[in-house]
Amino acid sequence: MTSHDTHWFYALFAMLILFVLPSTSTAELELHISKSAGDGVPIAIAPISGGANFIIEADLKRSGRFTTQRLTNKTKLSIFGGALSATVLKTIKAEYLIRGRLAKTGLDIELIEISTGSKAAVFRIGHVTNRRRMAHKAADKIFERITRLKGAFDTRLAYVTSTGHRPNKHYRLYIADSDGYNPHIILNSNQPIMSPSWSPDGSKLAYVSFESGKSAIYVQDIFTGKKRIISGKKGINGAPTWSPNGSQIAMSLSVDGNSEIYILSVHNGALKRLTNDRAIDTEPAWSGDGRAIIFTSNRGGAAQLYKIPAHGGQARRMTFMGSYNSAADIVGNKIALVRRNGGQFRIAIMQMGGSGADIISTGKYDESPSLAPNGTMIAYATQRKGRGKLVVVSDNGKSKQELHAPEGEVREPAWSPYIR
Amino acid sequence: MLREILKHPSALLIAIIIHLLIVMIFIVSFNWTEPPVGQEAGIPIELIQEIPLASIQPLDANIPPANIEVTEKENEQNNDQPALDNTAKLLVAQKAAKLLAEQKNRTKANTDKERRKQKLATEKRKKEKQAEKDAREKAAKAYTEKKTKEKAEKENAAKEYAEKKVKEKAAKEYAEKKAKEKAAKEYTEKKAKEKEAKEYAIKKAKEKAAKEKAAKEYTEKKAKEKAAKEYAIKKAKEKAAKEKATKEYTEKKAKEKAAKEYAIKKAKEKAAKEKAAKEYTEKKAKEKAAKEYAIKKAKKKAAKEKAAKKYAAKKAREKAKAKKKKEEDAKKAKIVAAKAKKEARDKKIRDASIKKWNEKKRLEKEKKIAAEKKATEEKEQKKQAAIIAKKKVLEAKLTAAKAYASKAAKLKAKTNWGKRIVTHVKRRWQIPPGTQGMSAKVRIKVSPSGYIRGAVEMVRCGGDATYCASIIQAYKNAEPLPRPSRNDLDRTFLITMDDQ
Repeated sequence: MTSHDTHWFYALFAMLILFVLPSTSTAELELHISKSAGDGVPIAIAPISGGANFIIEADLKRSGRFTTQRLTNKTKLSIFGGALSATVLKTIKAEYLIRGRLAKTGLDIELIEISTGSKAAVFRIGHVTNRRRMAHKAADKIFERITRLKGAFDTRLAYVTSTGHRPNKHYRLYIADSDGYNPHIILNSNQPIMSPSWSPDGSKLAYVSFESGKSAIYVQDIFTGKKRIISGKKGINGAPTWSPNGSQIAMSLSVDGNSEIYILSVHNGALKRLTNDRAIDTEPAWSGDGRAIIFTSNRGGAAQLYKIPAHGGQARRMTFMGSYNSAADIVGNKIALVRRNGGQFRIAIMQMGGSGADIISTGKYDESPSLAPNGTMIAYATQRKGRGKLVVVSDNGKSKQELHAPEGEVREPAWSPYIR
Repeated sequence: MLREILKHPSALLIAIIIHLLIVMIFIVSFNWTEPPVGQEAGIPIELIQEIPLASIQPLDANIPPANIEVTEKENEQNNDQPALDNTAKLLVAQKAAKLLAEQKNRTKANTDKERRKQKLATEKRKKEKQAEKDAREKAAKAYTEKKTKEKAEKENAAKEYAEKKVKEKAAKEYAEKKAKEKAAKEYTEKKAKEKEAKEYAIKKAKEKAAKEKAAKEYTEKKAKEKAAKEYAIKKAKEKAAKEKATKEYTEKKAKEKAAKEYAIKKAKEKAAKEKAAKEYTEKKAKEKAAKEYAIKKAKKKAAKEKAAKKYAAKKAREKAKAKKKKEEDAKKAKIVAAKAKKEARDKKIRDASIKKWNEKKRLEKEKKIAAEKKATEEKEQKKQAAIIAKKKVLEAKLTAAKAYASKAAKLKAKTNWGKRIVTHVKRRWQIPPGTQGMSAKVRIKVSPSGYIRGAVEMVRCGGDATYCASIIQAYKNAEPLPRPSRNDLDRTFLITMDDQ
């Protein structure tokens, strides 16, 4: 090969490289996101006087969307309004830093984006008597700022406890904060109390009580304590559920001997039968738009969920997986339910119109799922060492917290709507 | 000096600390409760209370208190019984006087005894005090000595401590300095290595280029040297030829000159000889004539005539000879001139011939050199062209390598950035329940500020509408995404999302 040929060869080779390289580098980089191994948004929380940081941490953790980290050192960085050094910030292995200050006027919170060192949000929670609520409100704000979903930590839970043994068994209807703290009794009874359900405005509770010797559905104002009976018909009066607009209550009645779904007008007391089947139809739940009701029925041989238009019509089976699906609670397009899974009753979550469901609890007898108003958490009752307990699990199943609750068997939690 | 001190604030601070430390050690070591000793002691104050002797009422040791009481009782009883007469009173008074006298005597004796006792006691106290004072002084002295010793020890210790501290500090500073130096050295070494590694390629290329250049220069130099050598040889030859010709010419000229001079010399010698011969002849003739004049005076007339005749003849001969000689000289000069002219002509011809030949030779040589030069130049040009071509290839290779490295770095940066985006989005993706096995592929173009340009493009949705909507929502929630590390990155990603 002559020198000229060699030169040509090299020149061609170089040109080839020059032409080929850009074409390969400009090709789109293909990435892969697998959700199975995902973790939450890492967030560091600095100490706040009064312990608000612990409440915020527990709240954020409970949502299953965050991995929290405590800043133990009381450094300048951790002080509300303190200087933000980019170098020091980088030592925190988190995306955000929360700093706070409890003042007479309320709770001041700073949400700092660590990558840029800028303040993503600064807000003040006005002073309220219940200091825990201030922390819950702060957690709601932080949650909303990061996930763009409204927070539901400043909400309430209603649940029933039973203490003692027959004939001295005692039932209490409680209202507590969403984390189980600040429990207040709103009803004491020697007779069973069941199925509490919140009105959409969060001011009333509908429940079933046997205080008159038979089952009856009551509505009680939680602030005044005034209550009135809305259904005390023959047979079973059970499972009341408020419609999203608060004008109707769906319930299960066995006036005709068989348990059917009825809708009661709150304004005029008009009762409308929705289902008519020889099987048991119970546990109605309103769809988010109030146009349909999902209920449990064994018309197919085993308990399954069915959907029926709220104005009446043909019921359509919704669940096909699992031999037992019941006790639906709906928020948005999420449905929480109880599913029998290998002989164990567990809480599952599915989406409206979907066929599959994710099992998110691990107990043997988990029951009464109730979704938080933003659909990110589910409160349910479970059995631990023979005693009923309340547990809150995140909708993605990544976080599970047993709630602080008074003594006795705790059952049938009902998560309140957003508190206005 | 103050400026110098202020230039080293740490040294100033250390000096202040050391001074303060010494003052503190001095204060601590000083016993403020220590009594003064020696000259500083002054007059000691003795707190001894002087009790007046009159005020001392010694009791009779022989009379028990019970008896006194009884007496008083009896007196009281006597008072109650005024019937007791004055005798009893007198007796009592006598007894009392006696008792008083006895008491006085006893008192006096006791007083003397007491005085002696007191004197003894005072003396004893004085002695004790003296002893005590001595002991105290001794103790104070010992204490002072001890304190002085302790102080000295403390001062020594403090000094040692300060020295130790200074040494430690110096050692620490030295260690720190060393560590810093080491770190700096390591850093420098690292940097140097990096630089070296970086420069290595450039150096190699430069070396190669330099070698090539050197080779080229060497070739050029050689060629020049050769040409110069040849030129020198040529010049030398030319010079030699010229020198030879000049030499020959000079020699010829010298010969000619010598011949000419020789001829002139010969002519002159001949003329001189002739003149000398003539003069000699004339002299001889004169002498002969004088002799003959003296001897043959008589024959003078005849001889005179004869001599005159002879002289005339001689004169005529000499004249003819001189004429002949002149003619011969002229002829000789003419011959020489003709010869010289001929030689000059010949030389001219010869020179012209040499010049012609030399010119011919020079032209041939120049032609040859020009041909050689041309060949060398052609060869050099070829070589140069080869070097340039090689250089171009190398440059192209280098450019390609640079481009490749740049692209590789970009790709790496993009991959890292992509990983950060993946983590960021993953943390915010709320996958709907019951969507196991579903997957989707999206394409996003990210702005330098981390925001998605346009919309998230759903390339493939392998799930239900809620699932794919959750993916779109995840990207919306994740905005702003992590920013790219460099602005020149291609910012388009194709992302597969699933729950595998």
